Amino acid sequence: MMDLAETQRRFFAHVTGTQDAPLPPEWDARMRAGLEVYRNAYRARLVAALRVSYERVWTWVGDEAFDAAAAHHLILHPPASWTLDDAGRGFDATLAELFPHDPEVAELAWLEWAMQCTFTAADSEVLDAAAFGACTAGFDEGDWAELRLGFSSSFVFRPIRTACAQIWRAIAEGGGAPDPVLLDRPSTLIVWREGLVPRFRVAEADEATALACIAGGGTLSDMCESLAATMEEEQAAAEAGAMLGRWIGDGLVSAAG
Amino acid sequence: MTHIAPFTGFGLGLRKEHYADFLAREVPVDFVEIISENYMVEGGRPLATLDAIRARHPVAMHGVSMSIGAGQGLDREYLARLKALAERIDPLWVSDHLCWTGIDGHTSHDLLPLPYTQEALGIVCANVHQAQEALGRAMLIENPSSYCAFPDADMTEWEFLAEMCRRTGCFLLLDVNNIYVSAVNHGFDAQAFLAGVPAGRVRQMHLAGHTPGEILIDTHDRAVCADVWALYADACARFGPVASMIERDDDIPPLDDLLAELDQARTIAARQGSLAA
Repeated sequence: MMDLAETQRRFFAHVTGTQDAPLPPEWDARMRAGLEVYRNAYRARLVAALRVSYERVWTWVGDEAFDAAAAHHLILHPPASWTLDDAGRGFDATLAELFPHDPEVAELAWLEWAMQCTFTAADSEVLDAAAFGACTAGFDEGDWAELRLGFSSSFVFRPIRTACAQIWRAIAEGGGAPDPVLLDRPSTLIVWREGLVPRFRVAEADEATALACIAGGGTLSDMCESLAATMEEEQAAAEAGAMLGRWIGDGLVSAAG
Repeated sequence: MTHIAPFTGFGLGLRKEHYADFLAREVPVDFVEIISENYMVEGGRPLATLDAIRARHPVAMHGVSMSIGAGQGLDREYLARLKALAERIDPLWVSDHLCWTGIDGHTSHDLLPLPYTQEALGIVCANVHQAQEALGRAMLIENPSSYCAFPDADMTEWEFLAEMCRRTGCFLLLDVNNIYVSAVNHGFDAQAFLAGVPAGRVRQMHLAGHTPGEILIDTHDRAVCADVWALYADACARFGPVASMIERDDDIPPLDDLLAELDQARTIAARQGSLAA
């Protein structure tokens, strides 16, 4: 006689379709009919969950291609988390493999996943302009140079080469798809939460360089230096100041920095 | 850890489609029930909304992922996160289902059926003990709908529940729709189920809709049917005042539709109360 864990292992393998081992002979026709209910519900539930997490990718690639990709992902990465929301983790990587000639699909998926994660990311105390001003009121030139900023815990970014951000907005607003889909030059997509609202925008090359520098632990002086690689030193300092102001306005700069 | 403060009344499952209603107006419910896992997150709008609603209503926590029937034991990290949420919102109680959800680190995200055997009973009771110890409170365990029954069962579902309560001190969340669905699917007598569970341990009742067919499916996507209302009346007569709620998870209607359905529960419970008196 099987113990409970072994019974559950057999049952689970049939429900998830991961094993075609014969069912125990004592599991009669009625038992098998019920088992089919669980088996059918398994795939339907998970594909539906991915459709929720990746609603715009689903719209972009269509029902058939999306469901096939979702089923493929679930075979490669069967759910292992207690929350159904995690079923879509890593789907962008799966899509990158399945759509090698359509890089916007994986980038759009990354954006959707980042927005979902940002929605429930840990709350961060961020600095508004007044608070930042109060913190830095007594700074001399040396303090500014050595200033290290922290970003909101929800902040993530990645390089992109497609107009995935425009595709997102076109789907959300019912507009036309961008043409061409590939960008003229690589760019960077940033995602964060402002208060309770997830946000994203595209950062141009200079800002992406600055963000990477600060996110990597660099000082304001390091940031100016990295910007000076493509502009005059004086302009770099002015750009750094403008970027800092924008980040504070966006609600990106954490009080913990 | 064998006590839960008495509480009765009529509530609804809190769903995001109704957040705005709960935040904007006085909703006439005595409590709301949340799906625990939806709020076991780091931060953001779900927790902020829950905090605001908690300030207005008592909250019951109802989980779907504890896997209390898991032959390999419980997930300690899950229990720690569940406990953290309970400490944050101070719920009426914490409940989950008499089921298992996965094995070997993988999950189905479904409430899978248990064989009602002595071996499974021992494992479930050990897991309930572990959960109650970890949470520092007694739990409510809900009877699930099931679509297949293991041929090697050596007791009924209600015998299993009764013995589980006796051994662990846990309480019961009776889902009246689930009793009906499983009774039809497996051909047992729903009245025998009601008669077989320990009345003093029933602290909450769920009401929901199901999809008819050769096998009834517990879909929570429609109104409570007449047969389930009739069974609820029998349960009210048997168990007296017990916290009751409508559980709707799909094809969510406007809040006022659910409140009207909840009024039906109030009417039935009041009628049964007066008959009992």
